[in-house]
Amino acid sequence: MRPVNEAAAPRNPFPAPLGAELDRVVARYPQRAAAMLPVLSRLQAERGFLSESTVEEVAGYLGVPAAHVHGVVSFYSMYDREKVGRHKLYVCRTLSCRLRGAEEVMGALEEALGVERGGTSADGRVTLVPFECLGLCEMAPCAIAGERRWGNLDPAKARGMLGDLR
Amino acid sequence: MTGLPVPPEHRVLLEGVGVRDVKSLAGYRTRRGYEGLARALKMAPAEVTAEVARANVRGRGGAGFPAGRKWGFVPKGSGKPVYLACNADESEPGTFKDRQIMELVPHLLIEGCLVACRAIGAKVGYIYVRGEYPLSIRVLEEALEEARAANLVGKGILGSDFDCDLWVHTGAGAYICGEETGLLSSLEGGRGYPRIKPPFPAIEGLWRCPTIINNVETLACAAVVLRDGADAFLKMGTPDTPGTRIYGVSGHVERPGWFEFETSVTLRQLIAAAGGVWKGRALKAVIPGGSSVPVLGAREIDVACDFGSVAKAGSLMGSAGVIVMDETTCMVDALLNLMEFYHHESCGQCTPCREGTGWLAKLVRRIEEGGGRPGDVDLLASVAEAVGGAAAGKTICFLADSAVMPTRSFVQKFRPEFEAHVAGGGCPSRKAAVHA
Amino acid sequence: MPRVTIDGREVEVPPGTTVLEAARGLGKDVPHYCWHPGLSVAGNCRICLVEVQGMRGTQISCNLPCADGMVVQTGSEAARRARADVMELLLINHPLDCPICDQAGECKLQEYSFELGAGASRFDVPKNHKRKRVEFSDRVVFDAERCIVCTRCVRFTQEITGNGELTVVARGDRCEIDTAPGKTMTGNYQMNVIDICPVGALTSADFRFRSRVWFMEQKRTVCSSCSRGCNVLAGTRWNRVLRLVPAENLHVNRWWMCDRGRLEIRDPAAPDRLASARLLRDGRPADADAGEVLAAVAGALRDAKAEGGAGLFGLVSARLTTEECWLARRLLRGFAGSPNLDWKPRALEADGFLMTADGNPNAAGARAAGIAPSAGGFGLDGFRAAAESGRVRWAVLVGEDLDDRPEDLAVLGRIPFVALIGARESATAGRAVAVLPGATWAEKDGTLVNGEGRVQRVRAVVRGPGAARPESRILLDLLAAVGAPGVPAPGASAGAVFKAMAAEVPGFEGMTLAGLGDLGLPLGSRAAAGAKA
Repeated sequence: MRPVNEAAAPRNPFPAPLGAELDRVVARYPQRAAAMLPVLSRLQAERGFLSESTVEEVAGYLGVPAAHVHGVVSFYSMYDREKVGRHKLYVCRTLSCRLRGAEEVMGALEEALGVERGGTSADGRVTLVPFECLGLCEMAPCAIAGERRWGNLDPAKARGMLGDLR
Repeated sequence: MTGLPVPPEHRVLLEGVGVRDVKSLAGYRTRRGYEGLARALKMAPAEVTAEVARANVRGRGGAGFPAGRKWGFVPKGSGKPVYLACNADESEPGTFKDRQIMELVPHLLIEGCLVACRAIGAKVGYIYVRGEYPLSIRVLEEALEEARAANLVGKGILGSDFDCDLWVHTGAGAYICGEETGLLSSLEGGRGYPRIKPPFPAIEGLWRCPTIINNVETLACAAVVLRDGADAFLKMGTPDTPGTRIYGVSGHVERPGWFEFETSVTLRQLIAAAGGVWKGRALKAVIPGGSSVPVLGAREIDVACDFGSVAKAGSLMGSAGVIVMDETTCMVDALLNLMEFYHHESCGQCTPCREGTGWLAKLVRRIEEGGGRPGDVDLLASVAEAVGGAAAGKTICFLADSAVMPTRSFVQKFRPEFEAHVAGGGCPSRKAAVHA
Repeated sequence: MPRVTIDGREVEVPPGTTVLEAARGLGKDVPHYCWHPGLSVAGNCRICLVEVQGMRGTQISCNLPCADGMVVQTGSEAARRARADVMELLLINHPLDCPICDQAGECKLQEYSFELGAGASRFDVPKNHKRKRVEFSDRVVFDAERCIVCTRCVRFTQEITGNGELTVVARGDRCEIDTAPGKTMTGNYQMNVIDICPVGALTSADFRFRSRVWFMEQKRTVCSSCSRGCNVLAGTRWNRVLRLVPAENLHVNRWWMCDRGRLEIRDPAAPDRLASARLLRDGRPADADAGEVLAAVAGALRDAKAEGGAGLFGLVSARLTTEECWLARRLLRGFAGSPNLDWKPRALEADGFLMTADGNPNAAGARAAGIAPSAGGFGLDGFRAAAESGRVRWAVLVGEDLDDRPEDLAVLGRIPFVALIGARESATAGRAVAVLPGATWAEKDGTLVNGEGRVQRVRAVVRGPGAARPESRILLDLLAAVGAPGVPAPGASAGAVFKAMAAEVPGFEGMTLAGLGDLGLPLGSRAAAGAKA
């Protein structure tokens, strides 16, 4: 007895040049589905977050069920299923940073932004995300936003850091 | 970048870093870059494996499994393509060594990957870099572009019959993808679920094909071994763990940073290299190998930082992420921080880890915040044993053990502090802060 | 072939057999949740832990291949303690809402907890709370708190139906099963996930809160909605079939059945059931004494026989048991001499899995029993022309109607004597001179032959309403009434009727009703045994 469904042929719904870029990534793997994380990350960078329609598009593009993509998106801490602020500020909370004052840094940021950790400032500028060890322990306490990184933070420097995030 | 490196002349892996350009291809060549690859191309693949095995390159991701022996597990004549996966998912708390290689000497990793691919017969290798390392990703991709242009990656490498493509594959924030088979599941496009064994990755890994997974630093060592020969490598460090390691020292020290040392260095010497315990305080505890290993007390630091010595001392050298805690540290708070990490990062597949990491975190939180009940410390220790971990055969992977080992050792070595929290209605430091 | 010792018993097993499978082969059921014989091995529940000599700690037996010389203890102190630990951890966040959970009474958490568990909980921190009563579809309801994330349901959608419509979301103890956003479960096999869920996380919307399972009687029988013949367990109470679940038969449906078959169960007391015998009096149907109606039908058959039988049309349903088809042939052809016998086809759209294109459960049995036109006779396709030309003076419909064939239905009016033996009211029954109330597949004992030629037992699990009886009983009465020789007496047991049928219907040689067991037998498979007998 065979399974009742067959996968539909994959289709690329993404406009150029993004679509071509993604095709090049897909070509690196012997199976399309392996491009999942690079494709999702690229789309999130492009669109700000991964919506339901993006999930469906990716499913069709990589030839996997939509539920599978849904399960993947929900697994990884860097993926957002809803709109976030212009800047996602990851502030490390793990031991080496905590030992050097990460909790005070987070408290100062919460106060300065007027949000609780996890929230987005009212002006939509910054989403304040407590994150696990960012691997920057030599400059603890630390924070990153995209490729930018800040280290050796204290409450004052943390407030200054917010000035960099326009 | 903070952290004074050990005198450059003692460095092998990070030779030249901070002194001159060793990041670009041209710069890398000034440290005899790709000579190891050239040598490997003149050897039979099995000879390359034998050389790395002879050098006893221990896996530097954390488990210390000999790389040469692992490469030998790839079956011959399976008819299936062989793959290399480089584990650059460095997420073990307190660990930041692989980041240095990727950001500062990316070609060392590329060469190591090529050497490994040559040995195991892989035509494709994927470097799985955690998503939180965007700089590493960019630097590696630029280095790979250089390498491709220089016929070091791609078809007919250096004019030989060896074809090999290397690609950077980005993660998206999940510690469990640093587990070998969790990495494979993620790389195949799924949730980062570690796999039950059998089958073993060397037999059935990526897409059910033979796959070797190695840590960044391990592959870097392989490049060095092929460049200088196994004998030269064996002259460094201890027989248990030949060569050098990049040790990361963080926490309550004057100058947190990375330090490349031969593996004979002691914990005491490492802490001293980082300027000693900060603010003139006394040492209370140190975790030697990333947060997943048992904690050591202040009197246990005269131990060589190789796998065997630290194991004998009751902990594990793991990922060489040394976390230092001074006398003001609340050990319950420290443990809570770690338990919340494992609770957050458990993939959720198997019962003991999925449910147990949550229970452990809730119990430690209760003890720390003042809800601790009589018997809680015993209960905490007992729950840790119930969770057990992979060492007891109770879980699929070692994340559970990574929560259990700290719990067991913190309670064992700092029990009075835990009991005081229970008896006193919470953390003395927190209550002091409230009342201040 | 590796030889292993499990709990002191040595056994040789094919290479690749796991310890759990080897133990099951020895009749030892090691506790398990995530393992299922029809699905891939997940190894995530960790309850099937055993102790293996020479290996540290405990091992999951579901993924451990038997190695020659392996010595396994499933019940050692270490194995029990490890399993008890897993059990404790399974229950710490469990809502323990057995009093309102449908699974109670057939729940593996309850069973293994009873076997292994502590009896008291030491978990006194807040439990995790998750979604409860999520409608995955109009058939499947999900409770995330009860779920132990064994992933049987997810693997079912990946490996059996292939649509992959279930997944796990989130991480750690926040994990839940989910469908893609905005989507529900689809297709004809959704409800299998309810059966394979070892706990009450996936329940049936249809069966929800209808009955506690320990109040139901559960009997093994065969589904009659198509020619697959999926083996099922019928759960009954208050003389109603409350639910059907698949029963394992590796030769037929393995562990699965389709939703359509599962949901096509009707109440024996439904208003459209024929519950009493009827005769047409003064042009209007009126309830009558069954004996009177039987006599009328018997009389009609004698008349038909006297004219040689060519004027008699017999429509014998391929939904009837083989015994009933055979008895009908004995009556309508054997006694009355009709060459015009046939059964009505039912076409379905095969779904590529279990549901077949043949919507009759026993076409093979009807054919074997000789329900087909014989030389010079007409079948269902030729019926209308024959009736229009006035050649048909008697029609006997056994377990069948013509409501879905309006042109055939229309010509019934031309036939002076129409008798219908059947379970449900219909326009056809309305035009019959004589009506005898029959039974559905849930009310009779006998055999069905599926589309692949497998003979399987169907069992009576409920009683029909009023005077309704299985067609076999009615046919035996008619055969007695007309004095047909060599057939079982009206009170004969199902086994005796089968035996008599088996002597005459090809393919059944050497078989007995009891000998069919739970799994049935292929037609002709006992012929050698029959020849020896």
